[in-house]
Amino acid sequence: MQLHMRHARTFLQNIRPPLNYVPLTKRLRAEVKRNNRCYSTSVDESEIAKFSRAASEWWNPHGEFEMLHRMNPVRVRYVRDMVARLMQGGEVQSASNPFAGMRILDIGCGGGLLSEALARLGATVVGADAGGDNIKMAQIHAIQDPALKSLEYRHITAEQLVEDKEQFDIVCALEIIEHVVNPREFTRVCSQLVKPNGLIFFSTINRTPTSYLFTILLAEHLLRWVPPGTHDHAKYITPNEMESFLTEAQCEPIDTSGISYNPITKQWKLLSGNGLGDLQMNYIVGARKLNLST
Amino acid sequence: MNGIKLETSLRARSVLGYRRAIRTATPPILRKASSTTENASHVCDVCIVGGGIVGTALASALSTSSLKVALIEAGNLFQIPENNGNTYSNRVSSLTGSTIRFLKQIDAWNAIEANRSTPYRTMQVWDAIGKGKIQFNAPPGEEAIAHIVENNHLQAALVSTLTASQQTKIFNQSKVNSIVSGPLKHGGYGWPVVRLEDGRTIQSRLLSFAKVGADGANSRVRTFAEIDSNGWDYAQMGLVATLRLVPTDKGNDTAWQRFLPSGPIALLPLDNEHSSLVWSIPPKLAPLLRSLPEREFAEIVNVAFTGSWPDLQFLTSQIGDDGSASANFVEEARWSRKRAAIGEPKPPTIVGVQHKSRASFPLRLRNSESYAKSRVALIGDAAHSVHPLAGQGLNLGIADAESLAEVIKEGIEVGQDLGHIHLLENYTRARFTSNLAMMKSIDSIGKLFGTENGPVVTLRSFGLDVTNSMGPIKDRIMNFAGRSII
Repeated sequence: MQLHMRHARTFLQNIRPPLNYVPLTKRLRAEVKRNNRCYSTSVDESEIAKFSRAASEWWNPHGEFEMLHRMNPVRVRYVRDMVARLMQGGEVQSASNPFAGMRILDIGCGGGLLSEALARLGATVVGADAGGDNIKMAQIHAIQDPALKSLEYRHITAEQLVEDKEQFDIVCALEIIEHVVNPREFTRVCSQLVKPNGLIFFSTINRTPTSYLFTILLAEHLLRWVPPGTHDHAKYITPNEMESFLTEAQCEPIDTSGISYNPITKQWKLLSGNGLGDLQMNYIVGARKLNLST
Repeated sequence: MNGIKLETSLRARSVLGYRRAIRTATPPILRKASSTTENASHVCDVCIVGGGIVGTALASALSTSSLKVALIEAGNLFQIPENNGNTYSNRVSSLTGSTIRFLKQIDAWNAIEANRSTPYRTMQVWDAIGKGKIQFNAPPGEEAIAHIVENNHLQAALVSTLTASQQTKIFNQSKVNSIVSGPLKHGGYGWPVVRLEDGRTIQSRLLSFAKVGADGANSRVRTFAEIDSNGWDYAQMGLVATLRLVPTDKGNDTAWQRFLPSGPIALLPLDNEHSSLVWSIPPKLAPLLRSLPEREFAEIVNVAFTGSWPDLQFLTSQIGDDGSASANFVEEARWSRKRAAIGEPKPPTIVGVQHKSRASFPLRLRNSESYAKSRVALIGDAAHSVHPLAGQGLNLGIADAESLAEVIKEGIEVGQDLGHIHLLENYTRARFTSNLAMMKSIDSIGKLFGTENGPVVTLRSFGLDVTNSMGPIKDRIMNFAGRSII
């Protein structure tokens, strides 16, 4: 009944003449209220301002997350290419709409960097994050772009999505597995969210002396490219571990590629070869969910 | 257990709630846009300010993408240029091989009528003071060094590609009133907002400035983008005109450029009886040469191409403030030709100038300190201007348009926000250094030849001759200049 009323109200809101236009701050407040309803009983007015600020810092191209911003196009191209190769028979897809008709989960979406890009490419995207603050930031940013119509953010964990029996054509868990408590279990849960023959992507950092030197010592402590404490080297995962987690989770690892950063050009690059040094640092894995019913 | 269930159902509702939030949050933006008719706001991906050749070329290159593009031009984009074999516009450009390849790619090259594009296969460059000369030929496998095309015909060809594809929203004869960074409230996205004088506004995720108009657009662009430009004005004006020639049996397929101490003078072929003039002159001479009677003007140009430097100086001193000639220019030119050194290149003889085709403009060297900021990209004249002695200005501008279109397409492929500075940096990286190198070399060629200093003249004569006899070095110069120095 309650749902019914809500739909009626939405309908009325849509046909109402646009005389009383709702300013952004009000829109945001309303939105945060709606989304907060089930998590907290009261909405702190100052929160909206806080998250607005946080969102603009998160999305600042020269701020704390600059490295991640710069890495994003490389990750998206990798997903795009793998999807074309493995799900679309290698056919050339529309440049702007290759994910049309696909439902993609971005687990650990943070401020929505990957989710927005996937939505622009035509996918129906669910951005999920266990951090409610992240979800609010992502929502606040997404309504600033009229092109992001098929994007939905949810404050929810992977486990809860499995409980809800959610299924996706593609699941992306990028730069997240090194932050979870039990990566093996996390991989298993993520895999349950993928439809048979769907694709699953993980990206993370290899546990090597090189990665300690660059990602902890240099990037965090000496050069402060990312805030100190962002990473815990012990939680880094080797490609072998990653592949065995995937195999255990009924996924067939198809490709593992290194991604390297050039601090002079400030560009990330996918390393296509399988040289010894290629997987020393950041890498991305694409795997296919096995179809066990056949 | 019960608790978990309750939480789940609440979560499900919150999801629905969010779905509705998006639905109700988005429409007000659009409603706002369409509700107030006098302020009807056009929302697009790329808004190009300045529909000159470079701006139109960018719009044309983007017309095959899925993007919504707006093009704003103060003048009339739909003017149909005359196609009368005997009259030519005085503004022509020398289009290099790479420019033509790009124009073919965007289907604009075929739209230029065959009789409005003149290839030249030879280019003769020589020095009025020393004896240096150098001849360039079309590289093997290439049809020509470059093609001379009138700017208005090129422009019309580009516009025809836009009207054919219907992808671009054209704001024709629309002057820009203001450019502001849009607010994040009241239905805006924080994108740049261009307000036209008729009150219409255009919001775009990427604003590209392609032209600096005399209407102060230049300063508005710089104020908005906070991009400074470096450079200087040359103490020179460019004088252009369409000239009538004595037809020759050999045909007119050579470009001629002579370095006078006052600046280079160039003759670019249009057809067997016409060529286009580009002459760098001291500013005080510009009004005199523009008002000199047509017959006398033709003769002084003849002397500038074939006479000695003192002969040319004498003739220019014989022009009164009202443009009247106080010497017999025809007779002087005849004598000057007789005295001309043997072995000097012999460009076609000029017999007249097309009525009202003389015009002049100041010459500048400018380069913006950067070509891009968040949500802003500068291309063509808005980014840089060069001395026309190498005829490279338009080629550089078209290369900017090509490069920016390329970068935008890369951004589309990875779902990037096209106004994102990280994406636009790729455009600056691709163009800034190569433009700067070209500008420096053009500037130093101009300075090298703008002197009568003895040792310098000897050296440059030597340089030109040595270069002329050494194929590989010449090829390198040709390659560097995009296969064209004129």
